[in-house]
Amino acid sequence: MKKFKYILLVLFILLIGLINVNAQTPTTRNREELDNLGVNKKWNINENNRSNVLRTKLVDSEEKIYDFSNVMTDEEIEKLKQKSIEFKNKTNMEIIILTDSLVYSSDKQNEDYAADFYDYNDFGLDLDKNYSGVLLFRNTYEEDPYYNIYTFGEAQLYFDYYRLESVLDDIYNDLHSGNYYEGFNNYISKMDSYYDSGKSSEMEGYTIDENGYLQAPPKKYHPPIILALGISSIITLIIILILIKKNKMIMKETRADQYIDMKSVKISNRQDVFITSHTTQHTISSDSGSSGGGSFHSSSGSSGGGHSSGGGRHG
Amino acid sequence: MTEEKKIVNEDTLENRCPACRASIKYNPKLKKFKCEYCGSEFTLEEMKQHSDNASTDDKNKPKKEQKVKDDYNSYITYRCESCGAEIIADEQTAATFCVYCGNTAILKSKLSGNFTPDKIIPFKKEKEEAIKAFKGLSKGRPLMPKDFNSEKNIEKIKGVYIPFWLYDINISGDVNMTGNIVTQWTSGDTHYTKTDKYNIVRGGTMDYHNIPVDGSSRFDNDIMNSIEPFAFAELEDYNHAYLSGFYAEKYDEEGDKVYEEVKKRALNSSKDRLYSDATRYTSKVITGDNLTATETKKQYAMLPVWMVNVKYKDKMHIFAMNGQTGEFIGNIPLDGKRTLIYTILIFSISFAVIMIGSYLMFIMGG
Repeated sequence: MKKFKYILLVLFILLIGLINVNAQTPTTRNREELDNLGVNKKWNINENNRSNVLRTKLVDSEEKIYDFSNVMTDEEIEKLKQKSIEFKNKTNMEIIILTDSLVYSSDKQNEDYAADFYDYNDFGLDLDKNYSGVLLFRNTYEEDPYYNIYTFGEAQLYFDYYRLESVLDDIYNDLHSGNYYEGFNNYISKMDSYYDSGKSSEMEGYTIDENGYLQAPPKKYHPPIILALGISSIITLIIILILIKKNKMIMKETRADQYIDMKSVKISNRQDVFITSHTTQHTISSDSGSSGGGSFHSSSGSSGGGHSSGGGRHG
Repeated sequence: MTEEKKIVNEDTLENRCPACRASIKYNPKLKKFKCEYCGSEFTLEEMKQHSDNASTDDKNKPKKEQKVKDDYNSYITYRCESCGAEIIADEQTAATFCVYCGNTAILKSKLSGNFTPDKIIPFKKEKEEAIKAFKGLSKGRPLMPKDFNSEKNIEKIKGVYIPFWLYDINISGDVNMTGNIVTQWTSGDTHYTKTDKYNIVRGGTMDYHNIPVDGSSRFDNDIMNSIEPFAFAELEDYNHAYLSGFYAEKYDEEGDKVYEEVKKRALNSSKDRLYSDATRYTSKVITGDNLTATETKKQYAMLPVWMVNVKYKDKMHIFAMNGQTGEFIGNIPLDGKRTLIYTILIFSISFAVIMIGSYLMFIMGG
């Protein structure tokens, strides 16, 4: 009997060990014990965002892949981590993957958490003042859960909305069917090849400001030369004709209005006979035309920093 | 003819001062006859009274007849060999050139034919006012050659009574139109446009008084049109005494030729008046009319015009001033250089203003 208990204990330990091998949870630290709640970036921590900071897991920024939902093996995580580090060395941008199961009722909450997770950890701290990088957040809270890619700092100029949408589409099937490693691997590869094709032409002229927000290029003044030439020609013609008219005072009179005897005017025959009527109708379209593109802007996180994102997917 | 009668006739013809018997002239400013010798002033009525009182023998004779007779005896006709104008002046006002073409080859002869206007508007504006008006032409006319309105360019300036026909016309009949009433409204996101079509008739009658048309073929009708209107309230019965110091011309155009022009003017105005009576329509167009014109009265009147002949760079320019109202008209030549400068200037300024405006709008509106 004792032997049996011993075997059970061994099996239990082995089982736990097996589970541990498959799901090594990322290490987290308690923010309360640290200076500035563990935030080493330039953001001001105040009453407004304090709770956001506290609920954001503080992780080791060197791990790159944070699989809180345990959807990958350590081996897979390690491979992705190596790819992420390569990406960072090449591009001077972070590439982060986060999976977690968080209760949410709107996609905005996912975005807020993803932005906080990036902002309140040390990602990109060693790169530039805007901590450039991209983060893919997969929320495994429910069936067909949410995933989206978020861009920070200079990454907003490389990975515009359309490029992010394309990546989100490409990894949809893998993520939907649970092939997380393949999906995430594909994500890093795609981002890498977009980086190779340079900054997005859609973002030409855009800059990133102090706080990581996209700044639209200053609108260019296009002088309406043709229009101005046309209008001033008409104005000139009219004024010159008026001036010429002042010199030409001799004119044929074709009317006799001033000689009419007003008392003698009798209008005795007034007929107004209705003939036909027709009504036409047209629908007023509220479409005011396409915006013509080029109106990108950053969203703001609780940190006060800016970021952009793709459209997000459920699946 | 008695001795007394002869004196009276002479008095009337030559307009002698009833006080001192010196030659007397009509003064447009005073609207009176003023004697330059004794300083006496007489209205036309007083002048008439004087001659009426003097000519007691003629009391039974109709006045008009006497006037006609006077005209025949006292007026001199100058016929221009160049343009054929027939200029009339009294014996004291000698014509030395043709007031129309400026030709000096004019033949002097006694007046023949009928010269008996019904009405006259006497001169109210003097020669100096015509010169002043000419010199004032530069005001508001930047395209005029700089030295054009110099007094020294005035070759000749003459006060002329121009023969006019004054027509009273009645217009009556209907004007036919088609008109649309357009109403628009929006219900939901649909915009409706309703067009109601109507046949419209407006008919009636109206009178025109004293539409003037000049009876001189030499005088450009457009110039005459341009110095209109005359204030016909001041129309007076013709008396040849008004002619002293001025020239006059006999009419050489009358009848259908001048009437057609007047009729056209009255018809145009009537058509418009009936057209504008139909007010509730968004748009309307005249499709036809059966308006007829009836001449109700015709008068032969002498109207005062200052003729100003201007010679500029060897070209003659005719200006005319309404001798009653002072309306001064004529065609002023354009200065090519000035026109070019003004064109460039106006174009540059408006172009600059538009560009600055559009740039300001860009900055303000973002």
